[in-house]
Amino acid sequence: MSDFKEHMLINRLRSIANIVIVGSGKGGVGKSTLTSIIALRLRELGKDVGVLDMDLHGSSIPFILGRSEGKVEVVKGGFKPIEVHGIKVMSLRLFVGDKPAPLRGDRKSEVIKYLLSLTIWGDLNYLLIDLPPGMSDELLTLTKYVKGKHILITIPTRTSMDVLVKYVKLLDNLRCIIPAIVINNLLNIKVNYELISNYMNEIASIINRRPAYVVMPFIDDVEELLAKGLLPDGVIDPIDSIIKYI
Amino acid sequence: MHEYSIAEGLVLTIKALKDKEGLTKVVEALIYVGSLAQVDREVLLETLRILGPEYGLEGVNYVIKEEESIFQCNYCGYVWPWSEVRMNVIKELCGDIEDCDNPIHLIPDLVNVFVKCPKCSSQDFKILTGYDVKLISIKGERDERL
Repeated sequence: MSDFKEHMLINRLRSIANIVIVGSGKGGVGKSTLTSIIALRLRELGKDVGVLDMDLHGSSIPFILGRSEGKVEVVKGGFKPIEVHGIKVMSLRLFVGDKPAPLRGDRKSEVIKYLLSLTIWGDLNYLLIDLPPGMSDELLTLTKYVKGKHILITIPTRTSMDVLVKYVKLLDNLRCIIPAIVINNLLNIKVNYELISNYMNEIASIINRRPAYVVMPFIDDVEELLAKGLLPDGVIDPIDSIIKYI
Repeated sequence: MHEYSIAEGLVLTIKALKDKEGLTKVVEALIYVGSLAQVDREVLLETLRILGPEYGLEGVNYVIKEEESIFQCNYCGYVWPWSEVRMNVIKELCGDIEDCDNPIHLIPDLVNVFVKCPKCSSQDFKILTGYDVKLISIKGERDERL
């Protein structure tokens, strides 16, 4: 038996110049916020941008960008993403609303294939894919079909950075490219640069290259600003230095 | 409307298989359709016939094999067919519209979001049969001189 989605998926992604996957093994470190910030900045720079929210259990991208309502529109050939602040957004939230999605492994993989194969992005400069926490179905299915650049995010604590190292090992085994890492100081703690440097050395020894890294400052009102499609001043420089690598 | 996307995916898959197998012509394509996908058979066939020639697939006999979707609850073990809950689920998702583009039609895997086990109300159940739309096989001709 052949899955009709697989050939369609390859066809659909051909119109996208760059695919950027934002991930981290750990939850609550700011993946969706970072994805939204990069998307808004790229849009501000005049790029055509799409965001695929792949967090099936905690879809949040439309919400972060200020759209809590919205349903998927079915058009000839597939699903039309909604547009928020000039960014095309596809999310499971557009299909299920605020209902929980109790999906086991195989079901999750198939949902991801449906979203990848049937979303009509059109020509994009960048498609950003926001991954959920963890290292299982979503990540494995995605990396099987999509060869993009992985931007990783962590918070500057040992527990989070330990998980990040495991995540890097997995991505390296999957032959994924990791151009940059974002250290998100969302806890507003004193950043221990020696600790970060040690972990960066460990990561460099795994991937045989030192990835670029930036520290994103704590921003008090980030949620309110992003919902209005505005970028906090403090993120422009760190994000621009990330965008250089994607 | 969604049948168009499925037909496009199927035609792309048939074309890829045809090329892979070195066939000069595809004479028959056998397609599996689970009832959960709520595919309109006639619309799918018609769209396949329209789209096929655009991909070099002229004169293909499309055969659709339909199967009832059957579920089994992972909690209590109850087994039930889609037809047992279909009317209520469609009513809830589409209201009075008969065949709307409901989420299960668009992505059959979302059945666990909208359907509960009729016996214990668990949303944790598996699909035993009748899952998704797939291309089962193709029959074709080869140029024996090659």
